[in-house]
Amino acid sequence: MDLPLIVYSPEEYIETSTGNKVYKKASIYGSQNIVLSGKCVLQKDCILRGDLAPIRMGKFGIIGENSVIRPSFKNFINKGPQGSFIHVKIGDHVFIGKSCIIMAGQISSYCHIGDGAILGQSCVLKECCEVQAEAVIAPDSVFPPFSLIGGNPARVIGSTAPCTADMMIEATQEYYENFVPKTSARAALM
Amino acid sequence: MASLYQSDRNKYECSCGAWDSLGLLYFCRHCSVTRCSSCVLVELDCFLCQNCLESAPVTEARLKKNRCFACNFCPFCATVLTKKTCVNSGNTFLSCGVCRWSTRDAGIPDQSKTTTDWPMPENPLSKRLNEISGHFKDLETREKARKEKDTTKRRTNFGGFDASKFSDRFGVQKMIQARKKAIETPASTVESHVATADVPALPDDVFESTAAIQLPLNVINKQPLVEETTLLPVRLPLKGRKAIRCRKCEHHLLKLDYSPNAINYKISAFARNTIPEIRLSRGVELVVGQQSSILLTLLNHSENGMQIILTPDADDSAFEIVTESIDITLSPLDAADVLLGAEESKYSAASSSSSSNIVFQRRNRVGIRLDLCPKVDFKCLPLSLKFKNIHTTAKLETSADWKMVKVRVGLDK
Ligand SMILES: [Zn+2]
Ligand SMILES: [Zn+2]
Ligand SMILES: [Zn+2]
Ligand SMILES: [Zn+2]
Repeated sequence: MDLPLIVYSPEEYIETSTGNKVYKKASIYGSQNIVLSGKCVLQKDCILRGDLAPIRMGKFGIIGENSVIRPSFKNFINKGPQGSFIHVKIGDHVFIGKSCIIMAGQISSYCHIGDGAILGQSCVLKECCEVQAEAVIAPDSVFPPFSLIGGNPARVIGSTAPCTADMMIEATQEYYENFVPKTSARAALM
Repeated sequence: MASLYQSDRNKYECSCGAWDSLGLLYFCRHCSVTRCSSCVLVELDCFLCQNCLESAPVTEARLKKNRCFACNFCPFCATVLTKKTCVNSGNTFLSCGVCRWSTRDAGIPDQSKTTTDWPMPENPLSKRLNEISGHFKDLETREKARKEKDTTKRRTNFGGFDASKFSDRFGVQKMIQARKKAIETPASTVESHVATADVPALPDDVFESTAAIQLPLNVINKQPLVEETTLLPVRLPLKGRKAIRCRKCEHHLLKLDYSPNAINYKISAFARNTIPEIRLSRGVELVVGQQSSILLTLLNHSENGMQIILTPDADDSAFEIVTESIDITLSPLDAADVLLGAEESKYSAASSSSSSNIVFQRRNRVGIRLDLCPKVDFKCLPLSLKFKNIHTTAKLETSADWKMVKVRVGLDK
């Protein structure tokens, strides 16, 4: 099935010069610490905690409604008992669904995170992984490329298609193009 | 990805007769046919640990019994254990992030910070098992030596010279000596098992204690000889990375780069890059006995233009065909167009005989309307897709032939 056309009202979203479409009332803290590489979509009521640690997002990143990105806290034993928050690195063409809680350390390119998934503290997803909806990933876990991850506690339950990278490029680009303001020509066709 | 586009609802027919979604099919350009997971040869490229992503060559993996010595998983919930450091002593222990089980619960002492291979309990029978496997290896070499002796031709006469006086230039003498030694030394012996009448009685509490029963299967599988009550960390099994070859011509269809973390392909022959993809544009409402239309999108993911003839399959009696066939040409995929947000492709395409059925045309995709009249309620639409793409053959000088692939489009909600 084709991705649906999503029409938003231009008063609610702001489009930056690099093509990012950001919900105006989204809770984005520490915006000086947040880097969006362009053509990202930050939807309604998502929360980005850039005040804790830097968040970096690649191009064509989609963050669904009510999702939270929160850097995780790590204790470093050789630096004394106090720890620090670690960076969140998100690659290109990453799709994060609705109501997700992301405390990951790294989400590599071409990953798809299903609705309502919870990614535990400083976990690492390598390229082309798919996290099924409602999966709960344990803290500090690592997943190799092309893993299909599901369940609670989440584990590798299969592998994604070998052409996942191509499919994710197409999907995120199409999602971005179909996310249009009411005033656009494409919305008028509806 | 598969779930975003619900691409598992549309199945394509492979050359072997199986049906699979387009993302899982390959196209062999040397044979000019599609291949699916059940009609290819799969070979193991390398082994890697799924937690530390360390790769191991085949011999090393075999030596380690396909397990990573550095990573362990929880015996209760199979989550990978994380190394925690004790603040006071600086020693480490393993702990589960999900169920909070730790190696301290199992009574395993904390290890020093530098330990990478977490200690594993010794199998109480390992000495005996090594003895037996050694004995069988010995028997194997003897049998091999005897077989070689029988098959190689015996030359007794070296033209009147004594062969032993020549220097052993080619190592033949050495080989013969080694063979002789293997045959002449007496075979190693191992004690055979002796039947005994002295069997210990079954303890009375065996039916009341539940400890042994509740062990997860993966623990029983890995540690069958461990005392019932102590759960121990289990070493993580290694994962094999696959390379795929065509069954007939044995050309590679899929091969990743050397690095175990790589996602770039040295060779990739996805059917998606050769065969046009077909997708439902939106959900369909079919009413029996009334003419309805199904909106489909055809996409060309290849680097070449593609000519397509789409026909509904007539041998299905579930519906009456209204649209006989649709003939279109699809432009190739151009990544630059997408980045610039161009609506039209720079390639001139729109040459079609049945333009009334074309809903939209946008870059490498065309939206079409297929009219039909359902006789009964049906859940899947059979289509024949004829396409002409220069990419379907490996030969350079020949022009493209028409290829045909059958598709079933799932109409369920
Ligand atoms: Zn097949
Ligand atoms: Zn490992
Ligand atoms: Zn556990
Ligand atoms: Zn072949």
